[in-house]
Amino acid sequence: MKLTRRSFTTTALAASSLVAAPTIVRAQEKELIVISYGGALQEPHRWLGDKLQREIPNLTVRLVPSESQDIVAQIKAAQGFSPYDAMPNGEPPHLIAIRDGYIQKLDPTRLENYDNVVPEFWPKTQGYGVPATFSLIGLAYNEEMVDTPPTSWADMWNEEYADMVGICRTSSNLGLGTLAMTAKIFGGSETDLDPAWAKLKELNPLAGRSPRILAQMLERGEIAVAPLWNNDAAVAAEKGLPIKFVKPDPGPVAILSVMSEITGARDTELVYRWMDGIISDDYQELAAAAPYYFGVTVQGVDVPEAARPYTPSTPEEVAALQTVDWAEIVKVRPELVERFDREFAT
Amino acid sequence: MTEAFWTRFRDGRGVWPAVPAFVFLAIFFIAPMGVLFSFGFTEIERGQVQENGFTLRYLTDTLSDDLFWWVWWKSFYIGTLSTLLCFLLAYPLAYLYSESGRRMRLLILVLTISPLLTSAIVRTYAWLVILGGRRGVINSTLIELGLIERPFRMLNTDFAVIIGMTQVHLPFMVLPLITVLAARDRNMEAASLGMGASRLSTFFRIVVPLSMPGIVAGLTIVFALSYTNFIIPQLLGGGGFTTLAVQVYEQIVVILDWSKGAMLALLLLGSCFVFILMIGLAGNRVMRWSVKETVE
Repeated sequence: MKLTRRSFTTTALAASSLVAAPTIVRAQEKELIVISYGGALQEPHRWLGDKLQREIPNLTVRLVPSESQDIVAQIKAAQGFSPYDAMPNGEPPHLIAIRDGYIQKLDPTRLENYDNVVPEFWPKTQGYGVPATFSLIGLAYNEEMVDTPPTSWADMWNEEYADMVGICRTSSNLGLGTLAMTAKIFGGSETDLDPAWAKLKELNPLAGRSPRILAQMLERGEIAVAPLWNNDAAVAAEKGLPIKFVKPDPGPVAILSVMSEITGARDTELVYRWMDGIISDDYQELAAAAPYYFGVTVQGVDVPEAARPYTPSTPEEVAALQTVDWAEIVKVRPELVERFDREFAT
Repeated sequence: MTEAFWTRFRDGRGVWPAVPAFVFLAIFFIAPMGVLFSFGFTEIERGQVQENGFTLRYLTDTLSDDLFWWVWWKSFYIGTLSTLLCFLLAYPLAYLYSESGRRMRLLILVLTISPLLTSAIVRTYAWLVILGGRRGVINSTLIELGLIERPFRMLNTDFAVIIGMTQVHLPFMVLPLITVLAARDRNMEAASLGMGASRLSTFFRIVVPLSMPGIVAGLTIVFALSYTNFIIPQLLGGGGFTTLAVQVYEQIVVILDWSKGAMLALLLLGSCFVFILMIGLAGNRVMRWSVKETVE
């Protein structure tokens, strides 16, 4: 074949369009990458993602199930070029994310459902993100191993459960909540955690590396009683496993989960659509239903009957909810994580 | 540079074939490791390297911390014990291979290699099913038979970690041993037996020294894998079980203290290198002795 100027130009143009085509197609596509929970607890997020995909042409919502601490480490390593757009955080990592600048301040005027939210939740976000749901730390037990179910936090030290109690490492919010609550019931506080360390050591507990692993230990009967998230206990019970959840006296610890825009998110508009969806009635009703039983943060959504063992359903139960001064805990979090190994390394 | 070197260089022999591997390692291994280790001597605040940030604080703090020495001992003890267990289980198997016919050899080889076709994480999860609580295979069987009332605590113990590591790393001990034992010079054994030595004496004075290259290779690989293993202690050791590799993860990902995590990583890699060197030197010494005695 003879190579002329015309045939060369035509071939070059054809080759360029072939190479550029995927890029052009990708440019028309939109993507929202959201950090989510693992397992069944991810389903409400998946529902919202599918809803947005139907509403916004060419949108793909990707959920990345991961521990928030892993994600924060990745974002930190990315030095401002986060591969993710939005993430839910419990109160302790939320405060750390604000301090370290990983999440963005919220512009309330961009949310249609802003007024839906129970006003008392907004101050806890400190102006960063929307109050997504709340969860409880209570006591879970394996009913095949326990004759007398626990009714209070102090019951963890009952002789009947000796050497059968599990706790989570202080690297998790569950572990930190357990530590803070133990301090409170044994004369300490968020700024005086020594009584808690002493009492937890006295338990000779079996430690779980994460809440999910602690729940599995309870399912397998390695431990009989453990402080656990209400959601993890509910999902296990829904599968037919012999796990029960109690809201121990003086009350379970409530921790708010805040959905925030990650600094450097690629499409802020999409993130706001996502956050607006999180505080919509539809989403909250789904999250409050079986088997997730997340605590709702918007007004007018009823707690389903089946959720009553897992969430506060009466004004008395709401009044009994325990809160923790997370700002004090976050200040010393690295020391608390290290101290767990110093106290419990085997 | 000699003429011979340049001739080989121009011919593409010697150096050139190694260049791609060297470049790959330099870019994707040496450079990132160098950056990571440099963090161990740098003050970093919220992801930013501080001005005049060079410091030896993390080295001195780590070396004077009782927790570090406890964790180091734990890593060393777990690594050593699982390596020895692997050796004790692998050597008879490799010897059987070298003495067997074609079909038996094929069977042993398939049994050895087949676990490598599945992920180590999957195999480790299988131990959760076997060892885990009252629902675990062992405990539930013993309870069903009425032999025990309360389940043994097997998971979340040193025992579980050592069993898991031994099972996962066994092929890495068997394969080098098979290679040297199958290829050994049988004439030396025949000569030993012919000169009146017993079978046991021949085994320890001829076969074992001849298999030293495989023993050294196996010990080196398995110790390095066990000493630095992260997944198995995480899954089978429980929340109270910690090793140096687990501590590196905790510091970098959970506590977000890159400097301390980098220092621990440096000490983990450095000490692993020293132990491997010691295994190699000890192996060389034994092999020199065996060659000398054989010659004499």
